[in-house]
Amino acid sequence: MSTAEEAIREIKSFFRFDLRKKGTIIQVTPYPGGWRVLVEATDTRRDPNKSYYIIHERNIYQVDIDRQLNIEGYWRVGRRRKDGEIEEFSYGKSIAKEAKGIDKNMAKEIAQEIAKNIPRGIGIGGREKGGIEIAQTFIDPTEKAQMNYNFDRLGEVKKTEQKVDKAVERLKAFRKTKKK
Amino acid sequence: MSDKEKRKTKRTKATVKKEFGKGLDVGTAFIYCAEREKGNIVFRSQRDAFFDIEPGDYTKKMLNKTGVKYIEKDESLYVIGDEAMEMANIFHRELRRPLRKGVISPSEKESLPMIELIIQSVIGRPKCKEEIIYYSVPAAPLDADYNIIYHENIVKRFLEKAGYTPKPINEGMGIIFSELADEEFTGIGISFGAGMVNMCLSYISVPVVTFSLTKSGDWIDEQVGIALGETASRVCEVKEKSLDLTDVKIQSRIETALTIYYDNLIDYVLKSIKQEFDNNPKMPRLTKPVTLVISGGTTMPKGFLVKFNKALSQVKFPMEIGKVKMASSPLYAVAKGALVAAITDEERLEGGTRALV
Repeated sequence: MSTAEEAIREIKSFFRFDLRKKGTIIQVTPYPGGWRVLVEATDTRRDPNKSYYIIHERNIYQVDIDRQLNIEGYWRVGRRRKDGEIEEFSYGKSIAKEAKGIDKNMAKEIAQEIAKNIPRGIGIGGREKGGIEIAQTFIDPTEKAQMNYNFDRLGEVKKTEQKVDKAVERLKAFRKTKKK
Repeated sequence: MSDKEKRKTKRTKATVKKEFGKGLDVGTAFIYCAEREKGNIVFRSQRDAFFDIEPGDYTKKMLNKTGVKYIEKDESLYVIGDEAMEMANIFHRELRRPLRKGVISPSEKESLPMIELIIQSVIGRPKCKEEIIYYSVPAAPLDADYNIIYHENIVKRFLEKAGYTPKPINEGMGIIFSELADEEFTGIGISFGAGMVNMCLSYISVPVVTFSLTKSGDWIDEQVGIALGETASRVCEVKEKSLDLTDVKIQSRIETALTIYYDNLIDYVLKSIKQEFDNNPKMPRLTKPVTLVISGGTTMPKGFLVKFNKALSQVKFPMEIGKVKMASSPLYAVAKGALVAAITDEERLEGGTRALV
């Protein structure tokens, strides 16, 4: 069985998929299938004309991760308002639309249930029994950058007379045998 | 278009169709890509290192004039590839390396967009929609506490964004696919890369035991650099250009130190493999002697295979080792094996369902 720390580490990797986003783990709660994690994701990009950053997104996501550390799905369940309060979403339609790899109705139910339990501030632990408080765990951001460069293709080209036909045929034969 | 031209175009398209699939080796020091061109394999290699220099219009003009590749990002100018290494040595500074010990370096996160650009510029555009590309990933390290999931997923994302269908392949398994078709893909593949040594024991194309070690070529460079007060980049240059492990009499001080650390590395790798084989409950009972193949940039100095064989004769593995050989192209073996896997997958797809890009 995985620990909360392992679940957080996995979700950190998951959120790094989106190179623009950084996020904060708000709450980690165990549930029978694994871990339910709330993340506040922000999309901060530099204003090209000024020296400061613009925050494009402050959404709250719920990420479900099973005992084997597979991410079952993630949903947008709320957003951070300008006054600092978290606004919960009470809809079901768009939540279901965002569900990945999980039955839509189940996703809707889970999302609605979790939306009821969103804490009112960063760093506040879950109200459910067994909730684990993980305050301000920082997910390193990776930015999508504007780059100029003076090449189209890279790399030194080496042409050979090597063939791989025999290896491919043998590997195909092995894979066919394995299927049988 | 005349009928003759139409037939010619049709034939050309048919030939191209058979050449889908690419193999990519994302190494700590180099990125290698393998693909087919008119039935033969074409490799592309790029050093994945960069060196930051003072930006300016004059500098850029000079770099353009001399054909030096650069990336300009956030008001900084980065020279990339072999020229970066040359400049690092001229200025007696260390190169910046986006990968460390086989995976994307945690201290070079800001360079992620540059790694993405470099990878995409090496592999080029896919030849068909969602062309399959196998990319190498290291095995879990025995001697360090980090996992490879982040690295694997980041590279996967880069390749997806470029329009490919990426599939990971264990680095050691890449060597097996490349070199051991005649042995029914049974044997041991060891890749001595820059950041890691990767080992795979395969039985009829199935990886049975895989692991990596975090001491390899870079470790040798660092240790020699520390011992002699040189930069690792300078040591690496000597290692790549002139090291001969067979003739110790004519060696310079850097070469002598390199030879000592090479002995140490080979000894460490063989002892670690033996220990893992002895303790691994998954070890198959192999009745025939198995072939062992070595590859990777760290094996390139003259005399490496002799040293390896000498050290191997003093270690007793739980199975009999038959032939010990160097990969046919030690630098490209992993990419070639990844290409074999990609072509196999591509050819399993039904013909006519792949749209040309």
